[in-house]
Amino acid sequence: MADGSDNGQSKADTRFVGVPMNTPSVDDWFVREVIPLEGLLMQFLNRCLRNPSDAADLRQDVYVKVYEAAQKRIPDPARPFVMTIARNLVVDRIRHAQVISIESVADFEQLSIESDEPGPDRTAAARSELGRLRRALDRLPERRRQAMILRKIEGLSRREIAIRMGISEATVAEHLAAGMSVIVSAINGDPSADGDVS
Amino acid sequence: MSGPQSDKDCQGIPASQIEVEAISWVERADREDWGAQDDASLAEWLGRSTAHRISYLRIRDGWKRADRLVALRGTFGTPKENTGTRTRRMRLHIAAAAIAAVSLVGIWSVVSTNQPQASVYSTDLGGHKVLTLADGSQIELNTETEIRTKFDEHKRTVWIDRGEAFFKVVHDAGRPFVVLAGNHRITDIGTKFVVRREPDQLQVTLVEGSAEIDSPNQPGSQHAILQPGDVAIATATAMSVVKTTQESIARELSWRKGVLVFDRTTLADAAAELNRYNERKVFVADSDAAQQRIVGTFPANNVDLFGRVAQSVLGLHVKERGKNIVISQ
Repeated sequence: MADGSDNGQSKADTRFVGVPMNTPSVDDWFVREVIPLEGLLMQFLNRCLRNPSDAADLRQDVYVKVYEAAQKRIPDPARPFVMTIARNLVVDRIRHAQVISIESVADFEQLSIESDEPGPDRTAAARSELGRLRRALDRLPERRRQAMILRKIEGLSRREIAIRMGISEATVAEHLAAGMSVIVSAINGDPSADGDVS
Repeated sequence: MSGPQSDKDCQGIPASQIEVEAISWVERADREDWGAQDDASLAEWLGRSTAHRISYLRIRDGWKRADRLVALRGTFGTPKENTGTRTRRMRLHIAAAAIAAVSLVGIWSVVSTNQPQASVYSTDLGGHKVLTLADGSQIELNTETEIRTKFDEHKRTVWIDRGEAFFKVVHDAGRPFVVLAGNHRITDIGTKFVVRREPDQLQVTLVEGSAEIDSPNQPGSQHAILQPGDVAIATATAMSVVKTTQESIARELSWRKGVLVFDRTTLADAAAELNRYNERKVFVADSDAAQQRIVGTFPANNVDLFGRVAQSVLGLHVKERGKNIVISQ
């Protein structure tokens, strides 16, 4: 158990103290440097692949490759490294499928121009983050949204939510799980979670 | 350590499935009754593959950052009542707009009845035009298209002399809308459809409503009533009707937005389609290259992008020949 390895910066952090992490420095780097690129990454993958579940699968492949490379040596800066891996995986997939997507190529061209630029302004990002969360919550089905509000805003436990909503704890867990998936994508700026897909 | 052997375990497992498990771990860790036994189980699950680990890190981090949702406390009202009122009000607006639209069409019909017109409309290579006729019907012309229209109080007639056009017809039982293309006649029964005239055949795709197609000057020739999704292909001597899908119709109509949509289209067919719109032509030199398939949305006027796609992704050779480009294996 690598307890307290993340300095317990906030109350939320302390909840996870005790969760064993084999490679805390790579984990920290991954959360700090890679996950903030998810909005950009998903924008790219969604345009290349068009099918949102394909994009989520490819995101997983990108993250696995990035993480495993970082276990040997942490790439710095992260952004061009992550986007190059994404680009290569898309090309592999396209070659394998014997089809080419015109969007991908148009995007590659754009990507090579973009990749030297600094990341998005953190303050602006933080401001739009709350807006994205709000929109994601508003789009959740009624019961799911209610469960999410009770949990995350009112701070109720699963059991308390079950009593308040008059449903079983198992159903609460289902609502929360479905809601969490959407909320995490929204906070990371995945355009498909934000209803922004053209 | 999460060894690289783990990687293979998760290959082909959908991200969504791993995510469900990761969410369940994060949600449980977020609860009060988390014990040492849970630590051990989570460690075991995380150690099983990098895919597990990255999914867990991602969900845990996002869920933690979503703590800032507390800033929205008190901003969630009683949505049921609100949406009810909004919907009712919106319906009223729509009803009012519909009434306005109907009376507008009424006025236009009267005007056009009194003013019979015969006009020619055309587009050049790569052109695109939207015409709104006096009766409110719309005709959208694709590249290199020419039509003539003649409206009188009994009949609305459009000749399509070449090219392709999309029709959105305002129905008028007393004044049929007829499209003539060579020997073929399409009679509208309140509808949206596309007519594409090529030297040796006519293709009619019905989008909405219903229409009849026949060849009035050929005794004994076939005729058909088209329903949404029907594609009729008529040559000088024969006619066939097949059903197509919504997606395929949307693809076929993509020129209205200035793009071409390919879905596993062969390079040869895609090039032919692109060549309908551009002075700068694409030639596919050999059958190997011609059989490659492409997917995607593509600006109808960007020949260079098409060449770059063939080169950088398919690894084909692209050469300039005069103002044209030649693609080969």
